[in-house]
Amino acid sequence: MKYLVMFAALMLTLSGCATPAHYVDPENDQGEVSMSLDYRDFERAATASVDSMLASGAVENPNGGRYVMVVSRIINDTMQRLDTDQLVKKIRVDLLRSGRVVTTTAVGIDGAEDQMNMLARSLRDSEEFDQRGVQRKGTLQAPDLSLSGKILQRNRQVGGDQQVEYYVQLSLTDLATGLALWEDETQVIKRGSDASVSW
Amino acid sequence: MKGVVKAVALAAAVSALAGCSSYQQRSQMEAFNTSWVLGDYNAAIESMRPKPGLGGLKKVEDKRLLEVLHQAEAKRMLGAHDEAIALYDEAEVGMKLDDTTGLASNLLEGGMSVLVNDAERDYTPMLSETILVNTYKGLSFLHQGQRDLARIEFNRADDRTRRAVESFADEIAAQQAALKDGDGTEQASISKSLESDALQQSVSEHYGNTAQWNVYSEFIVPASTYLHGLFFLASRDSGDLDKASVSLSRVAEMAPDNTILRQDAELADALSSGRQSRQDLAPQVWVLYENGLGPVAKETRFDIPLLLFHGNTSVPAYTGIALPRYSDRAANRDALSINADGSQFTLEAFSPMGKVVNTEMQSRFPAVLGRAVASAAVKALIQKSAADELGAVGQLGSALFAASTTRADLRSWQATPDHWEATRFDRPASGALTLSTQAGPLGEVSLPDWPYTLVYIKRPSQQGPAQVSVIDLQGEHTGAQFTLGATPAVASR
Repeated sequence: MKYLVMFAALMLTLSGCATPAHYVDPENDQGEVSMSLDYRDFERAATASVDSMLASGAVENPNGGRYVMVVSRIINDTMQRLDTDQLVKKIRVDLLRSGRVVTTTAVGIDGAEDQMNMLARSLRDSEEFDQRGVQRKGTLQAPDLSLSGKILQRNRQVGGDQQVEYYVQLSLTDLATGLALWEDETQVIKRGSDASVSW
Repeated sequence: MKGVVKAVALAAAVSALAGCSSYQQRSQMEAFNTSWVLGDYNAAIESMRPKPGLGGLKKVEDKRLLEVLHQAEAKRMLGAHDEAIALYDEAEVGMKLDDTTGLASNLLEGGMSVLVNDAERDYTPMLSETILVNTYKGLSFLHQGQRDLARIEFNRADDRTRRAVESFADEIAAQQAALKDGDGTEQASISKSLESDALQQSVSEHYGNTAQWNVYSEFIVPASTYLHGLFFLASRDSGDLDKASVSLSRVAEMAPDNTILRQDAELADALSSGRQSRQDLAPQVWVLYENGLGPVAKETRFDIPLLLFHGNTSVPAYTGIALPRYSDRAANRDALSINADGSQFTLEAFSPMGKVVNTEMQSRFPAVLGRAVASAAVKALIQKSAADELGAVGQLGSALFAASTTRADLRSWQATPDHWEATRFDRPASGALTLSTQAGPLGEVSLPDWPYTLVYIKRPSQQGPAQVSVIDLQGEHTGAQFTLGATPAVASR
């Protein structure tokens, strides 16, 4: 009987506690932190990586002008389904804004990111199209730099809590020499309940 | 007189309800097994269709977890990998809910468990089952050529293995904390009974000494760790070979007589240390055979001595408890034979589920016994109060209640195998494998020209066919799945 009374009391307390939908300011989000990687973690990791890359001088082109970068594979070696493009996009946007690097969408590890690069060229010699506007041969620019990386996750028990460690590792390779011009690791460490898995 | 009639009626009603859910669970699993053994996976799925909740609504994931697990594996056997993955995802949501359900639910469940039996709790999967969920899901993703998603599942399986040991300790600690928080009389009765030598001796006599079980030195589902190792062995990404080497060495240590596992561990070590280059390695084929039916729980009932406290005095009493004890079912004794280009390859057994389950149950047993003794003590105290207040009829009613609600929780995922078998060889030049048993040929398997190929075979029973999947361990190609050795009864459906 006592269990039923306690249960009913808790149910009454919990009822009506649902949070109404509201906007969140991404610049000042003080919301609850989850054990998984969320947009705030991507934001921090991307900002830290770009700051480090720019400060290293690796993307300063001695000949002037901008480097052309291609995004290679970013391996998600965590336990959660992540869209690694979310991280990469933020890095690309910040690098483009820096004026030192531009990203090609004509080459990619699984084919061109934007297939229109080649599709637009298939219009060549088509009588249906004004050929003055069709892309000429030899206009696509090959990349100078390649961005690759890995997101690692390591879980461990610390006291009665669960500590989840994420490591965002990125490398920038000079495609002319194969040398890594810049490498960086950003850590995201979270500690919370160990009641269940972190994903 | 009216009060006595009401008490007896109430006891009868509760007894009927408690017995009903146990009976439903058992008959549902029997129906699943009947179809599963014959390889009739559509019927197996149908037998495990979750019943709607209150108001006809779909139950939340943790309330239909057991059904979802069975359905997911049956879908995977049918080659419906999208649906299998979606169901396994649901199962993971259910498992998480089960881990983290709020206080209100736990109180109610705990109370029901003590008043009635463990079968009244939402299904909590064994840790070996949770690990297999991610392993099977990883296989489905690999089959679809989605290596990035497969990687996540194998990482999850590995993390669940790491967490297992902590979980056993947590379950026992939660049990002890519950005893501390309990009512004075009940708490004293349960604690003192559990501590008594007489009770431990009775358990040892009737249930057996769990310390003498055949168990692994540490908790592991070797087949899951093995697949984790194979996936990372085939991966070309940096750092993965170290993971492969750790996993394959660990599995080899757990089965020291298995030459295939030892050779795989040596290969991973040689590749990760640079002593062997991938370029010099011929295309490799692994055959992994999931053989037979996994262990199931059976009920063991016996009387135990309890010390019941009334005020400052303790009264000895004998009452019954029911505990689950796992026993092996059948493996397919008709050995699977693999031939290619005039050579025969021998499969070597490892990862017996009976041993995996025993390893887990040995660690969890103090908590399982604690709940059973708590339930018995509470029921004995109810019987005493009923006898004092309602006389002989009250005693009879409460005794009826105790007898009908003393049942072990026998639920488990019935789609696991008896054990796995493995072998590895260079890809035959013809690319053709012939699978056969003593009963006759099963059929031919055509191997694509991939550097690392997994032929995954699952056959729950010789009464049903073998499901064969040809999987690219690098996850760059979509796999093929087909049925071999279909019996006429199955083929005609």
